[in-house]
Amino acid sequence: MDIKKREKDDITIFDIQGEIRRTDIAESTLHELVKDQLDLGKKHILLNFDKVEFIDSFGVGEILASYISTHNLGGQLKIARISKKLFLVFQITMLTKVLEIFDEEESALQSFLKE
Amino acid sequence: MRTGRPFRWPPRLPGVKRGEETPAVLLFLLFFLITAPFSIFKSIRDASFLTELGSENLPLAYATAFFVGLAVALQAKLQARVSRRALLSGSMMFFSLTGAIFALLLQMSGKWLALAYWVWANILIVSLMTQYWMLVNDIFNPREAKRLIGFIGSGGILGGIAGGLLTGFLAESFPLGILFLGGVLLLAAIPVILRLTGRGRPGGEPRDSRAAETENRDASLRQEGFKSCFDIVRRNDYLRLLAGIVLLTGLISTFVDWQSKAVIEMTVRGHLASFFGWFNAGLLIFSFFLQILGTSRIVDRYGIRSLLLFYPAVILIFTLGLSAWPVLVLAVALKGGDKSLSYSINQSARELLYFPVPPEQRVRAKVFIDMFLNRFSRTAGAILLLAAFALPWPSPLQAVGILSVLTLAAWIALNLKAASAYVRIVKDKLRGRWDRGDRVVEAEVDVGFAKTVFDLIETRRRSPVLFSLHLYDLMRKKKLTPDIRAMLLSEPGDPRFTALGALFEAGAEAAASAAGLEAEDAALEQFVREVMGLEVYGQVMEEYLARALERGGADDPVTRMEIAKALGLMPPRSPLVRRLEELLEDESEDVVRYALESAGRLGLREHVPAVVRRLGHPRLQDAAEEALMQYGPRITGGLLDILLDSSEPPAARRKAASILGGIGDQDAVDGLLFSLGAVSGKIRDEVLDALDRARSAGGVIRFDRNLVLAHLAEEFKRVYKIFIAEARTRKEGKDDPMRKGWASGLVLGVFKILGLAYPREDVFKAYKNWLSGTRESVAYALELLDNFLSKSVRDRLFPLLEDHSLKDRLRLIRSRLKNGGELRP
Repeated sequence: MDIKKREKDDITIFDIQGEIRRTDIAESTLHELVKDQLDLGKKHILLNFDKVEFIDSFGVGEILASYISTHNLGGQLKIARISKKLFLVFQITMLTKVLEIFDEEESALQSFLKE
Repeated sequence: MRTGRPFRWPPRLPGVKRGEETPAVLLFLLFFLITAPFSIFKSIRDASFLTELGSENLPLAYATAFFVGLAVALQAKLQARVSRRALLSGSMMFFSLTGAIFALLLQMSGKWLALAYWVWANILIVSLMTQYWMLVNDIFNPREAKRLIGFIGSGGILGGIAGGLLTGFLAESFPLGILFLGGVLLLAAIPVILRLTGRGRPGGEPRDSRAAETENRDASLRQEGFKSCFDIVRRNDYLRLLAGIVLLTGLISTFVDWQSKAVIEMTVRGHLASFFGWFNAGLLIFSFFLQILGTSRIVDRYGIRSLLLFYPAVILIFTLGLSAWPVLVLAVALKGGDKSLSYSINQSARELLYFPVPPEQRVRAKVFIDMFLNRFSRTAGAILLLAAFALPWPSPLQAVGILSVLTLAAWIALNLKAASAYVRIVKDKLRGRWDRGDRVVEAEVDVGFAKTVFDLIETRRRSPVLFSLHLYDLMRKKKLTPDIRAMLLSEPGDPRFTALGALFEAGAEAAASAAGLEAEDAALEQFVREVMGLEVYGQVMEEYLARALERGGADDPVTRMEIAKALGLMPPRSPLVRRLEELLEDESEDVVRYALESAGRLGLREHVPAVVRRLGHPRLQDAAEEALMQYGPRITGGLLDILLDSSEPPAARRKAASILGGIGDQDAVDGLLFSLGAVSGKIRDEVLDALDRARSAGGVIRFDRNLVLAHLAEEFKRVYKIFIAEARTRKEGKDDPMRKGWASGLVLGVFKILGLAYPREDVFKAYKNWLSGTRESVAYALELLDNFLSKSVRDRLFPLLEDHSLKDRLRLIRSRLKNGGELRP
């Protein structure tokens, strides 16, 4: 898994590539990278899942932990460009009840600006 | 060499921040120009009436308040047609002209002239006062007004003093008409100040938006008029409560006025206008010092409840005194107490009570309550006075005293009710409740189920056995939902199957077994349980496990993953589960993760050390935490040992704190609270979060308040030092770190500790609104905190939260850091 960071309008975007799995993680976990941004006062986080093939339960834990840390600091974490298969599983497991998911990055960015 | 502070211009005004000086000074002047002439008119009014008609006819004068109410209703009609400034300017012209006529008529004497003059003076003051406070509400928001009320209110008191002194000095030497004309000239200066107040307002929200808001409201009023003002009050519980308070305040003031004037009439032998001039000036000097030195401090220190009770308590004491000893000193003290407190503390309290009312409702309610009901209360007071005179009581003074005490009791009861309602409405004004992220997730998502589903899908590619074990796991938990069955049974060509793509490439065999499960869940579960419980199964599996585990890392970890998962589904008493210990030490993280899950499920004490060792592992710590959470309070002591042991890895200590927070019973909380003083850095942050998590669970857990406040004092020091260090790195005077997102994390610890000592929901409502950063939401957040935090806590917290320049904030924070002692509950 490879995670790259970029910024747009005070929103931190993580472009994730590969599978978010326990056996396939980079030097820092997703949650650690999100917490680093929160420590810097960046409270708007967008996870770009365009190139995420699949995630396992570890990946679910990482996403939820990132969501909780962001929420507890009054920030927001959203997901964009998730694949149809992942979205279906997110729906079945009710993760869509807490995670805001957008088809496109632009609409996700706009949603941050509206709030 | 010169020493000392540099000369500052303009000088710092009490409670006034930079940028607010101009509107605050203009409102101060405006108030001065309203009360100075009124003080002159009032002294002449009282003297004329007592001389011409006597105190026995005072109820007649009070009853004329009804006509004042009618005049005010007429003004409300006008207000619905013209802007606030135009109405105030027009009123000035009307009162200046009619005042000039009275100045001429005062050369003559006559009973009815004294009465007409009384009515005119009363219309003048109620009309101008109401419009003045509406103007203040238009310009400042609740919190700004609360801060500035001491300063601008003192303008009114100074005006009254000036008018009173002028009357006291000149009444005996000059004709009253000349004195009166002086008052009229002061009134004529008001339109000039009014024009200037329209030119700017302090920083923050642009003036234009508030002006537009006022215009909209005025336009709306134009459509509706006085009846809508009455309807607003009639339909709103809180406004009805305020109306009740104003009605009772008016009754009390009427009784106090009559009691004091009756005694003054009996005892004063000199020039009455001059006496009233001195008297008004004297009581206003007292009011002035009370306002400057006391009101803001009382408001600041005691909050709305005490503020509302202070005035009735003072009046009650003097009323009882005067009823027993009708002497001039007590009459002056009663009237002085009534007037000085009504101008200062009562006025502040009443304006505060209006602040949570939406502006559109507030402006209409004020028209009815302040301009009409307030007047009507005088008429009602007059009727009650006449009724008291008719009672067969030896002295009318004593009869009125009893009436007054009964009314005071009702007044105090309503004030208490209003204080509670005020806090409730301020809370309602704040944006929704603040839930911790983990509570939000808990409420909406079954995380264990979600993870099993992802693992189910993931393992389909790796192992049919693991896949089946996950299916069995879901079935046991009654979570094999129709959605999941449909997803697993989807045929090729079905759009959902197409979307899942390769995930379902495992083929029809697994799908067919899923189809079988649909019909036979219960039977299958029973069957599996029976098989696992068979002695022969145990013997066969024992051999298999021995072979598989001996091969260890040389073998594919998938086999050991299958075993680790399967062991968690077996009965805890099965001899096979002792094999789990080896798997908890496996070199494959996947295997250990399954073993941790099974350990948590089995809950056997012998696995705890191996699970705890995984708390420090970056990729396994979450699974270890989940497993230990399932052990619950049985392992509290062990977790506290890890938390307090500095030789343990920091990650393990953080996780221990987190688990203790999740357990959240009294022992865990006591241990966490104790450990707060022994840990630092990120471990301390985790302990704070754990305490907050335990608190947010809403159980009956006691938090030692003194210990909490001691930790809070330490947290303030820590935050202050971080802020000062951060401020040094920013551009001087311009870049305040508290205005950055950075600050939200900085003060979060403070709010978490506050949440342990005070109502957590209110604390975090305030935090959430403060975070949002808009002027109004921050004002309401601080107002809510104001109502339940002790003064010593507010003094430390507010320099961080209030809007200050970086320079002022640094000064305040350094002073708190230097002088900070213990915090009091």
